[in-house]
Amino acid sequence: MSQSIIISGGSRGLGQAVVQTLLDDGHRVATFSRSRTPFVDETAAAYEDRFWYQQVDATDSQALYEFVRDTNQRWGQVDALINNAAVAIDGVLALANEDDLDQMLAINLKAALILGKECSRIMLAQGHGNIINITSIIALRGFSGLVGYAATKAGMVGMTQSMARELGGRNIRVNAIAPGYLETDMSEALSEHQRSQIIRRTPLGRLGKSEDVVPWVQFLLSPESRFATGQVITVDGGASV
Amino acid sequence: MNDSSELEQKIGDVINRVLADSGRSPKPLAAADTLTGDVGLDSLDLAVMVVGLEQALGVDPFRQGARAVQTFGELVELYRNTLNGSSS
Repeated sequence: MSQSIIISGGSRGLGQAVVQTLLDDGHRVATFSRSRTPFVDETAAAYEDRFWYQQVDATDSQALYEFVRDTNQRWGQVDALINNAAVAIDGVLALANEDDLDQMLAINLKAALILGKECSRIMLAQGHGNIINITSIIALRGFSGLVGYAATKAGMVGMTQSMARELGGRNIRVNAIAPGYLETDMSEALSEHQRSQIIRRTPLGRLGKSEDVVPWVQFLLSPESRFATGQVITVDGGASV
Repeated sequence: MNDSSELEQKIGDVINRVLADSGRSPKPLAAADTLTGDVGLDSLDLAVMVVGLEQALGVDPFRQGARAVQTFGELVELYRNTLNGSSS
């Protein structure tokens, strides 16, 4: 059944792959990012009735509210929210720039909370909903040089479990997916040494790809996952075992 | 909106719709009735109520920083003040 789905940060990387798959599956997809990409322009032209994109700064809470409100007005409901937008700024914590920490907290965590707030209001009123938070294996296992990023992603895990408890009785499920390192723009910053270290520690012997994660999003959006809430699903090629 | 009884009626209708949607009986509301005690709304009911009031009245005083209120009368007063403020 076609759903009305909001996903943050759907213009590139994993978000782009999720947007494309959900459109292929027949859903209506609303997404935003700080800057347009060729993917956005091509998708807007190909799916003008089922794809809605706005340029939104995720640190602007009022803009996030308006994006959710406008999506709901456009399609009459918000069946699902996927909190995907994130930035990772690396470096040891001892030398971290405070503005960088603020930026990660604002985009990775606060924006997810604001979107969760705005969407859950709509979902409570309509009597159903589904929220998927894209966290990271780093939230659960740690990674040297990504302390700030790990803190925001661990915050998403707490948010997932608490929202699941808060909203379960109202037919709203909240789950998280924790990918390992993916071959996306965000992992381009890895040094060759870090990259081979991750691969060496991964039983399945490679970095993940967006297409390794997308089916889990599809599953959590489907009725087949109806009895799962508050869960963090790790998709990391076994690196965390 | 200046008509006090009309505003009270609209807010009462939204509250009773929240009650009815969860299988509870609508009830007449008095100013002194507490929302969570006498009326029987829980915290998620209150969230649904605020969304319903935003749709019905076009304002959400809580988004503008208002703190929680206890009684039906205080709720009506809060929305009256917000509507008067937004129209002035």
